[in-house]
Amino acid sequence: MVRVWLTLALMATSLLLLAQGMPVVSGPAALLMVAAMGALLGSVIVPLRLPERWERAAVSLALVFVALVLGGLALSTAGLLLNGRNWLGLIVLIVAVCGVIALRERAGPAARQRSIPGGVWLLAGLAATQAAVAAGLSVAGALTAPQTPFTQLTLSQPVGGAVIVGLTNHEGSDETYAVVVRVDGAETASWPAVTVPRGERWTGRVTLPSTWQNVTAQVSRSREAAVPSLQTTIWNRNLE
Amino acid sequence: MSPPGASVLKDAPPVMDEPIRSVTPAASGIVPDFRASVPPLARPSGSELGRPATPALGLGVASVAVITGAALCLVAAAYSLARWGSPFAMPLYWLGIAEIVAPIVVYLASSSPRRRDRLMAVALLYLALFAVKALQNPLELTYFDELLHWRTALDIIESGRLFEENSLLPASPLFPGLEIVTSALVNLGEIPLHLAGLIVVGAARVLFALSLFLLFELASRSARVAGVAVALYAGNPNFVYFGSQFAYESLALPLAAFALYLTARTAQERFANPRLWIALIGTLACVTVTHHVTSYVLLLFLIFWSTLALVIPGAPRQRLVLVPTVLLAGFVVFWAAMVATTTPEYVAAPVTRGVQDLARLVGGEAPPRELFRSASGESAPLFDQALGYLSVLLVVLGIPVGAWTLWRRESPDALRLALTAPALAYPVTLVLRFVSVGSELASRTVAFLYVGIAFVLAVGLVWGPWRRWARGGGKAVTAGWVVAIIAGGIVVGWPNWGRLPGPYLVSADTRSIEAEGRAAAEWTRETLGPHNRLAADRINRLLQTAYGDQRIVHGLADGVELAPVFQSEEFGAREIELLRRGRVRYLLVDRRLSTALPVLGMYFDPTEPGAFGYVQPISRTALDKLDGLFGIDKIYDSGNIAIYDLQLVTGG
Repeated sequence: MVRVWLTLALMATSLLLLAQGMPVVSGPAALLMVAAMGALLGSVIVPLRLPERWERAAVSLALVFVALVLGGLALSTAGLLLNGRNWLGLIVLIVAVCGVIALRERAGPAARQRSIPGGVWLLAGLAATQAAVAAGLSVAGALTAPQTPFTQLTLSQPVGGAVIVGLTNHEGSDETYAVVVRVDGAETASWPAVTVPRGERWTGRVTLPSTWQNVTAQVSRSREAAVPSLQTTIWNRNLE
Repeated sequence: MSPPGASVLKDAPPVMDEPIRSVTPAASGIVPDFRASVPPLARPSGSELGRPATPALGLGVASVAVITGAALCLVAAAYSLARWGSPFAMPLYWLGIAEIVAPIVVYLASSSPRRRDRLMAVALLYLALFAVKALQNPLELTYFDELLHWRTALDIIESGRLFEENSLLPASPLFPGLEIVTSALVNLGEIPLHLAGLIVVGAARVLFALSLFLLFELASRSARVAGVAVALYAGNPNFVYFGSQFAYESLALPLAAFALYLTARTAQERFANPRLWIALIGTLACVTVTHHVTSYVLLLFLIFWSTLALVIPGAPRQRLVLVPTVLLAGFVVFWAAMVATTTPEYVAAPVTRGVQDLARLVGGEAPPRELFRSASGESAPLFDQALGYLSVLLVVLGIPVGAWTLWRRESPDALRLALTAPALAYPVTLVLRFVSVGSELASRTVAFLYVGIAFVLAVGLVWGPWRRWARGGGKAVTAGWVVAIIAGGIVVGWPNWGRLPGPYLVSADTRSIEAEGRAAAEWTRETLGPHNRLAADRINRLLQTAYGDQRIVHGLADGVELAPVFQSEEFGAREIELLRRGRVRYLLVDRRLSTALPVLGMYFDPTEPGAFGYVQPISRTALDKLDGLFGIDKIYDSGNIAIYDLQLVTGG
């Protein structure tokens, strides 16, 4: 009985935290809410038969999946969207029903509880800390891993008699480019030294003549010989 | 001198750490408290037998957990070193794996741990091995199937609706169990999708460990056998990497294991607890809508089990297995008929190809696939090969011993027999490894067979003949056997190049997912908008689906094979006809395909011309042929990747 009330209190706390709307808090709150739902489902399905903590944990965990999957299908079948509000309503409904059933059940004798030595908690905390360090190491390794640098060159379709040349720098450092745009082979616009900061995008607008067949944009690194490293081309779709 | 009482207990039946409940049927509908009705088994304490007293609750497993935590740090360090190409990465990786597996297995193999501690230990083992996969790429999903399911999950989150089309994996939206759970977490708590996926699969892993333990314990009536069997299941070649990915089988298989446990439980208790039946029905329905093959295999197993229960005399309770069997059959037929109508064809296709390849092998029309050699010609290290062969040998040798031990010790029981049969079928799957498509089929099949294999092996190891002549009751033999099988499973199930992160490789799934391809996909979504018909190679079509939200044109969804368009050095009538038939608007070309042979043997599909037999890469000329062609816009160039707009040519 106490366990049921505690679980309901946990559920209420999760709802309050979710209502705050803070992203840092909403994630853990959602997980707590789902865990509370699982715990209540487990206590309703197996009130007395399986007092073993780990068996009840298995049942509760499985029922979380079952409730969410079948609940999601039910929402979809009812024509409701699977969004936050409807999920919240479904979980609150499940918890309310389970809570009522659990509270009305005749409470059996309490399961024999063995005290867990303090040393176990210390060791468990140490293991959890190590796991967190491992996760941190892995994330740090992924963030600092060497990446193959590249630059994106794009050329838009004409809009309002002009095309847009785009450059995005993924070279890992600020870069200076030479950009040349040719219409039907003739140089129409050029930017001999465009500096694009790392991770940033640069665009250039080129007005087209009234008649044209094709537009080509070429990019080269200004520190290299003027051999284009990237090239894009579009053809006039209104040509007969 | 033997400790007092030892000779009396020498041939006694196995003693569980804590009493297994013998549940009596309810009388007059009142649910009894069986804890009051079942006395604990009389059991001498360790000190009476001259053995040390059982350690305090949880202390042993907590100590092992500390070692596991340190091991995960080693694995994470190995991954970081691998990204920089360090030669120390792989040895460090294996050291970490050994440090994760060995202490837990030794702990489970010994006789002293309590039942509850064994449960915690198996959960710890499965979580730790899941972490091995999760730590590999902590910031994003990089496995082929993961990105396909990512798309389905994103569609549900963005639209709020189920069953949106996924052109690369049409079956995925039709079995949305995994994505429903994941999207619920994302919508409720604004948890990033990648993190939500990790939480869901990690929780499923814990469920898997607990469910298998409870099932094996019911079948063997021994917590020690159950613990060792759960550890042995981790030797399934798909366990550490494939089975830990964000894909529908990763949730369905644990649920199926739980369903098996509930089936055994409800068959034992009959209708003493009607609510357990509700949980069982719900679980069966959940498995049905989560993964097609898992539900089919579960159904086959239940049919086999219930048949045995009907045939074997003296097992009337287990005949109740017929009830969930019929229910699951109904669910499967309903779902296939009303929702997932294309599934039988989709599931049959690789099976058909595998059988055809096998027939060609048997008929001498095709040479056998070379084991431990990738399609690009690279051989696995000798250490890997030795470990792989050793693990298979240990499994093959252990199965008959376990089956014989089970037959001798225990009376015929439908569940035990049903678990033994898949183990006996294992050697047949080894033949499939000699054909290319069949090798993947064998891997996928073994994941299910291993439930029985693990059980039979555990029986043989814990109760086998060596417990009489090996010091320590065979604990060392058991632990060594299990560790070798788990390590060998990793080697057999996942290639050397896929176990550690590293630089780009051509057509190598997780080793081909990198920033340039992802950036191209994000650009197409931002600039071209979603759902454009786009054709690309195997890796880029995956990225364009997951990150670009493009409608990929390919054989499975559109019935047109576009590989020849990329492979041909000419762009003529044939190529244009293929593109028009596919109504392709955009073509993405990755020039890196010309730099190396495909690691997986194909650049596009298993059915492309030259698949699994390339001797040289696609020519650069073929990949550059569209440059400068009249009427073909080249709208994107990032050096390796070019995107062409074919609207003027195909009208797409």
